[in-house]
Amino acid sequence: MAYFSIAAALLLFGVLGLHILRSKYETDTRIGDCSAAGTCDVRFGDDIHVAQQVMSRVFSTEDAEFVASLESSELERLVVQERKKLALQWVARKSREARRIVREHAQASRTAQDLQVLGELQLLAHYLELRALCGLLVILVMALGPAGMHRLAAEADTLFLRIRSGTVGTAGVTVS
Amino acid sequence: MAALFIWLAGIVLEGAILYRGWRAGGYAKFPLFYSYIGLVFAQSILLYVVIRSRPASYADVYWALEFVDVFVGCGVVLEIYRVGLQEFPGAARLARNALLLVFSLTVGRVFLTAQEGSRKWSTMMTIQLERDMRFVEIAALLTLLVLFLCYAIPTSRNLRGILFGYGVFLGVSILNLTLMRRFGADVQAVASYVQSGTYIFVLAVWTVLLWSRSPETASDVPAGTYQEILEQTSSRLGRTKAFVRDALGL
Repeated sequence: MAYFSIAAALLLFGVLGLHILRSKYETDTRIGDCSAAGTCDVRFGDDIHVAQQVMSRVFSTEDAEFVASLESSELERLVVQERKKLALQWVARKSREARRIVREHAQASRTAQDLQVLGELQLLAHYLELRALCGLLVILVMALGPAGMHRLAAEADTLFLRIRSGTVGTAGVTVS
Repeated sequence: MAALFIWLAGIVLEGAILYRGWRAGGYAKFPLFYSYIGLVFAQSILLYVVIRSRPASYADVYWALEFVDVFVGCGVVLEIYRVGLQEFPGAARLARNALLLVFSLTVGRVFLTAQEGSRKWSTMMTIQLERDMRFVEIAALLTLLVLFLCYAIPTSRNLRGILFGYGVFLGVSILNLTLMRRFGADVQAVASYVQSGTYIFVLAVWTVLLWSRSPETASDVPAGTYQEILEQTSSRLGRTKAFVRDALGL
């Protein structure tokens, strides 16, 4: 209980500090920039198709294969570096977007008379899953690069299909 | 001499808070908080009289009154919940559930201590019980603070003052009580000065931030039913998740 008490006191000081900081900069952090006018979705909506095309290109192996065919290791290194940067920026943006969505939800639901605890918990689970996916994506992009990540996924897919067809074949033999 | 100065400074500041609360109309807005200050003010005067007239019985009177303080202090936490969330029924509903959970989890521990004390009561047992009760208050206050942060609940200057002052007071109290329980009389003198110093600081914060009545925080217009809000948020989160899953090749 002694350690719990000390931890609780320290946590309380930390959260109090956060609360004071937030109150101080409340006006700056207000989401009034676009959520109040309801324009966030519109802006993202315009952006979605372009972003999708660009990002599918960044994560695809097409360009990486083309650069590899030029046989210039320097160029290859530069392309991988740029793509990595782009991919990481995109993931960071998606994380920010998720945070903003949840913040907007909190602002809208805080006055709702019929707020459901279960609904909030489900939403929290969705949000945490999304953040975990973003984290996984960052790790994979850092370790393998966006194209390398897809190559690995494709290889795993092929391997999985091969194993599955092999299993089905064996099962078929056993049954017959 | 220093102890007497701290004591008198405390009485003066408590009196100032009560006077300003009366002048600024704070009693109607924060009845439980001002009741708490009124009680502490009366106790400070009583303890001053006791130490002057019957110093031998000071410790007994002190611990008995401290015990009353702890229970009345719970009212301050309730006040923060009531005033802070009165314009936000959604967040208040969530807070009610969370507070119920926190109370039921921690009050069990307090009863356990009280039961131990019923067999053999000592000053150490009182310290432990007070520490446990303060722990319940801290848990409740933390829950409220986290909700305030997550739901971006705006707080008025007055409420911020009560929240900050009482939070600091609780945090330092529990640290002191834990150290006193562990090291006993060795740290009592230091702990007593730290506690008194913090208390004067907290009273000063309350005097400044509760000097005049702050304007009410504006409440939002509800943005539809909760189900509508939930569906909208879920679909937006789902869209973002789909992009990320696509990128992952899932």
